[in-house]
Amino acid sequence: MTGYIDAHGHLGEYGPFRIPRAGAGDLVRRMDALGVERLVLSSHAAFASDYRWGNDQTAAAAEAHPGRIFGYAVANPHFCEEAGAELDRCLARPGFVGVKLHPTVHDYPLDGPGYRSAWEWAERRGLPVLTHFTLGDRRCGAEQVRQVLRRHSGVRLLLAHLGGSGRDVLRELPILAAELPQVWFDTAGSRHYRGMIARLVAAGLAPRLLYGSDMPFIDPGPQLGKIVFADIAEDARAAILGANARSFFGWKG
Amino acid sequence: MKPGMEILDGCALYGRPAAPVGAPCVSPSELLADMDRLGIAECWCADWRALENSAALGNRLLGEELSGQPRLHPVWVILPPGTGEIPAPETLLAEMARAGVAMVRAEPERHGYSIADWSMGKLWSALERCRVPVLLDPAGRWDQLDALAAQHPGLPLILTNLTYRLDRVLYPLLARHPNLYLETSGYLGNEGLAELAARFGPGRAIFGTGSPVIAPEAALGTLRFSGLSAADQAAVGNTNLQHLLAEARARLTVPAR
Repeated sequence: MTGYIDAHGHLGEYGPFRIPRAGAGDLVRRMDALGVERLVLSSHAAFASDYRWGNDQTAAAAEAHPGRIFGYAVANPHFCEEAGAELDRCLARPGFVGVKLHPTVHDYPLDGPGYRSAWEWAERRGLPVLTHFTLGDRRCGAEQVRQVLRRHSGVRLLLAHLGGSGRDVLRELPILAAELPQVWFDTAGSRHYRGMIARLVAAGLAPRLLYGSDMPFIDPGPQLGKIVFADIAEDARAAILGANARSFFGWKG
Repeated sequence: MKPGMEILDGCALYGRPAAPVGAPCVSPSELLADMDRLGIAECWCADWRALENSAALGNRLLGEELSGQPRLHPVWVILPPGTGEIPAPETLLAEMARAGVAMVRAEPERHGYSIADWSMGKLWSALERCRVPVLLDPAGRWDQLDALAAQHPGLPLILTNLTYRLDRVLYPLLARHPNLYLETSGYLGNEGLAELAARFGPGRAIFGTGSPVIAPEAALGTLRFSGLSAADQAAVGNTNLQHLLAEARARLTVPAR
């Protein structure tokens, strides 16, 4: 099967609010309905609870649905002494293709020492990193990204959510993209506004955008609609919905 | 919903806000261009001037600018009746009937008022008598909303500016109050519309784009990719709103002079 690639997903329940139909089988059923071939996810538990327990959930989902579900291994900066061993433990299991960091849930800066071993590990292994990214947030804004990539310039970095839903997105993302060739952006977000995708494409960012849904944290329907119905050229749409992700993850097929 | 079936947008904003988040639609032709591109037949919109400056003036200007546009329908912003900023309830209803307005919008958080009966009761009662749908941003005032829905069971309340985190409050409220509806643009919980329809039937959601605060393309995806049957998508995308508006239009009459 060939279809869309969703570079930002999750799995399972989440304490702060109800998430129905969040099991791996539910996700694959929804992927089938929406034409999504591959989903790269981290379980909610991995970044919002016991991260080792959560990484095991991710591994189980990837093992149950090979070729459909892939995993990001989560590193928790508050347990940084465990990070290298935990990431090695994940990579020994099939399906892990990258690292996920969540500075807002962990309430810890992206460029802080607690994440350093994860950055070093990703750079050494040549695996990409997905991080939560909110422009203006002192834990995971543009300046923290710049700091990290000064130290770890070899990391391919996927910045989530287009940096949020503020007016600064349209100004800041093209600057970051021009400045940092190893940076990409995923399109997941609950409050993206009218014209946002079309304006980013018009600013030349189509080669750097990856479709992301955040499913099942939020529903993938509006996330896919934001791209499928956007007023953009078809080659840009195809790049965002799959071709860019194949490049980012180094997938040939 | 099958391609070609008419979708109605029950929630959009028109005009120039002070600090736009998103590219605002500043002319009827811009709204219509979006609608044509996305297959939306008709749109009910309120005016930023009414939200940000003067409800009475903004409502009037919106009506003037949308006149002669059969696919665009004004939604009037309301305020508490006690200050005289908008006409008294019965006068307001008569003016709505004359202007062809059949839905109102209430944003108590933005405008700094209570939705409780001591503040809004006279207006709620008048709107209830004519079954006028109220597009209401609850802004977390769940206890007040529970009381409002109970005290005015004939008043259709369409909750807007929702998020994906609210089922734990919305489900019990929907179970208690048949006059509560959800506007879909911000209601982004995983398989939210399918879950809602399975528990409460397809009659409790009203399609809205939330444009320009929400990308209308995303709002369309919420409906089109919901997994709902074609019949249920038609209910959410069209007939639920049509039914509410028909009830209101039948009761909103221009008084004899």
